Amino acid sequence: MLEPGKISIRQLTVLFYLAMIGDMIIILPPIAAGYAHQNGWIVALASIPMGMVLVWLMLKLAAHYPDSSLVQICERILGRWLGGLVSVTYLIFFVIAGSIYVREVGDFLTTQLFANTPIRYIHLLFIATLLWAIWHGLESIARSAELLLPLFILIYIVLILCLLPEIEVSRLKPILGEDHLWMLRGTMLTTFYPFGEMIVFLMVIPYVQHQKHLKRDVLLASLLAGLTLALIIFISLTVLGSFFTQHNIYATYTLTQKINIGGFLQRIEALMAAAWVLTTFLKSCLFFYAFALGTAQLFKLRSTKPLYVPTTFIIFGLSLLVATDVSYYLNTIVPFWIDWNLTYSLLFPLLLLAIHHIRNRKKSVLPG
Amino acid sequence: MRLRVLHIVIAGLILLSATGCWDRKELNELGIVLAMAVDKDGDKGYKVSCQVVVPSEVASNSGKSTTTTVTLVQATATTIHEALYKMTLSSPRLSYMSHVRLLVFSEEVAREGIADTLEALIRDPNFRPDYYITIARGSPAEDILTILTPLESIPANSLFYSLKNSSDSWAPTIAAYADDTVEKMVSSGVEPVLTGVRILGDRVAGGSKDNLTHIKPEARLMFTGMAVLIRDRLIGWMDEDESKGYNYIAGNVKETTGHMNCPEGEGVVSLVLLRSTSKIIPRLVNGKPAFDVKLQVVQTIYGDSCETSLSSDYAIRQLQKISERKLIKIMEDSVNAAQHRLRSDIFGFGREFYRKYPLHWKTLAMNWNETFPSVKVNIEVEAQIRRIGTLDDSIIKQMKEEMPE
Amino acid sequence: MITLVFCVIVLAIVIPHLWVLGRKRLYRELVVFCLLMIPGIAFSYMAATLIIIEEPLFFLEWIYRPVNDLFSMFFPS
Repeated sequence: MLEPGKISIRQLTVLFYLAMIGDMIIILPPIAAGYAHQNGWIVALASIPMGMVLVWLMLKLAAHYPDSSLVQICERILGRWLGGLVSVTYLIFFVIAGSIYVREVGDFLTTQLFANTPIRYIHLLFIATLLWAIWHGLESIARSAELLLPLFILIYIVLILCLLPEIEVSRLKPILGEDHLWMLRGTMLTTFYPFGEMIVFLMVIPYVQHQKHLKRDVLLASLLAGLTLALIIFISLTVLGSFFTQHNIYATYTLTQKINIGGFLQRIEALMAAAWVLTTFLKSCLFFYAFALGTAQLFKLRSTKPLYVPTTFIIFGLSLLVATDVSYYLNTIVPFWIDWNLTYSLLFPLLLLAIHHIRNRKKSVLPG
Repeated sequence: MRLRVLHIVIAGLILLSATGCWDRKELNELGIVLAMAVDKDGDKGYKVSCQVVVPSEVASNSGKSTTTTVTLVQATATTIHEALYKMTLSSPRLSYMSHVRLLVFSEEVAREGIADTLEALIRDPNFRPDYYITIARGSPAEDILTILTPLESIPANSLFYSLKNSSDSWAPTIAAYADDTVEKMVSSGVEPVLTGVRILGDRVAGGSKDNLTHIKPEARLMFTGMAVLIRDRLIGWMDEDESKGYNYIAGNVKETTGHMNCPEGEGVVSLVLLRSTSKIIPRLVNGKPAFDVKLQVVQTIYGDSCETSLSSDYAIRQLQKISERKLIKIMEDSVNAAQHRLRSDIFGFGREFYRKYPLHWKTLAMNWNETFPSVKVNIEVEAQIRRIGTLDDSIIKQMKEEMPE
Repeated sequence: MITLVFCVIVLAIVIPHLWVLGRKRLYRELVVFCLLMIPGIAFSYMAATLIIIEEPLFFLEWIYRPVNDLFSMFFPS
């Protein structure tokens, strides 16, 4: 049995919500403001319906094969060899994405809090925790997510409430004044970055206790996560202004630095940073797990546990190799990541669905 | 049993490694910097002075204070960060910049441009953007940090709170935060303004504890005037009335006091302004920008030395009109100074125009500071005098009535 | 020094795995383990000793640059 655990729908929704916020809460405000300037919040809101359609598409694909994970679906639809090829490309995506999230946490901590620590040691700590979490299985990850959700919500609400006095809505003007084409591109990015990466959930869905309202709950989670991100972008634009949101690499951290209530509730940014590290941790857990599970299913192994350690090594290595420095990351990966994302979250599922329907029609045409 | 021991060992190892000790800096290795001053040292670059807290002085309750509560550490280098690290040549502690409350530039540095310094400070993750920026008038910036102040043992705190409270209760004061200033520097259509700070009195005596041994200190620090910048270079200064006008237009006035002449006869009425809201409304007139400034103020009378009674509706209305005229004059003077003498759009008229007519702004953005002097600004004030204090008739009026002629 | 520590860690982790897998006769798993371990060790070694490769995600750019250029043809900024 590759994965003996079963998680409930509530745990899945919590995991979905936290994973979708993931690293996006750190990197999405600069991206949205970079393309849409002061209209980033409109772009973020506009991306929510489009993103929900994307998630709906993925869920539809999963609904046709309720007990198969993504890798198995590819194999069933496309056959052994072509399906295997597509699965391998997905696995490469998962492992690189996982290492990029680890790298993001490392970059964030070494830029803001630990300036002198070499990034490898932060990665080591993070990845050791990752390994420990995965070793205990999907169920324990889901349960931890459930436990940690209130902490995240508390930190988020404290952040929003404490920054309300500093909001200046006039920073959002002119609304929709100019640069509509860039805004369109920005909408594309804000749609595919958070929502598109949720394709990883197709690896996890087979292990959920199936009930009727799976689709509804997951779509609700994606809506809430999209609104959470849009609210952070809105706050960032109204408190920091569009220039600083765009050019500050860690805009949300600067937001937490601005909290100053009555001269005594201040300098709590390190506590807030814990929330971002948490959500990114859960997201990278999922991608790590997806890679290991996918490889095991691809090669039809009987157990995933032996693959956890090699994956750890790969992720540790890749997290340092994937980008030589932060500016490479910002200038090269960000524009091209969206194309890669698009391929995996839109093109492939559409392709798979189309082929599935063609095959079904062929089957129903055949006599017997 | 063995597993439990193993778990404890692993937990211990994790505890050792998870506390972030690589980056540790013990508190007694840090010199906590509360104020920073940047001067120019000829060709050698910037001379950075830091006002560092002497912890034993601040913390001790025994009262055996022989040294001052703060000390000054200086270094000269081409860039700010080099200077900050070079300070270790003469200081036993590494400067820790997260608590900086005040940044003082000398006029010379300000005239050349403060963007280099600010860029370095904003980029450094150790600096937080909640300090005030000021420009030193009439003395090098480092001297500002050498004056001891009564009431606050740490002079930087005294300056910080003085600026904070002053900007809340005295209209001509500007309190410029670092992030606001940088935001204005990079936004088109608005220019930053900074406060000026000056030493009054004997500078040399001000630096020692003798300054505090008299009831009236030998030297005092005072905020004075408003510095007007274009982008990041100091262009000129505005005096008290002009900076008052600026604050009214920018909506910065929370509470202030002023006076007016009486409607009839001699005497002045002193008014306390309780609230003010201001709006800048851009208009497009014949393809050219024009602006309306609408100000609403609510005032109370706190001093009345007029001969006529002020308790009638008619008198109050008269006073309101006089008040409106006076405010309009103050603001017009300020706009004139900015338009013609300094040629710098400090009020943000351009920014408001951009917010309403973004497409039209594109043609104006390039040379806004040249078009700005010819822009028409129309100011309207609506003043309300809600209350008149606790007396309904002036005692001075009563006195004058009873005095034999 | 780091190489030594690295080798020790790798051996300390790999050998018990191989032993357990061999014991349980999970040969397929053994093969895949080794298959994944080889790039793992390579990457981790490069990370631990700070060997730098240029542009590892070059294939991303190589594949998608035409797409992005096509896009900017439609949306001139």
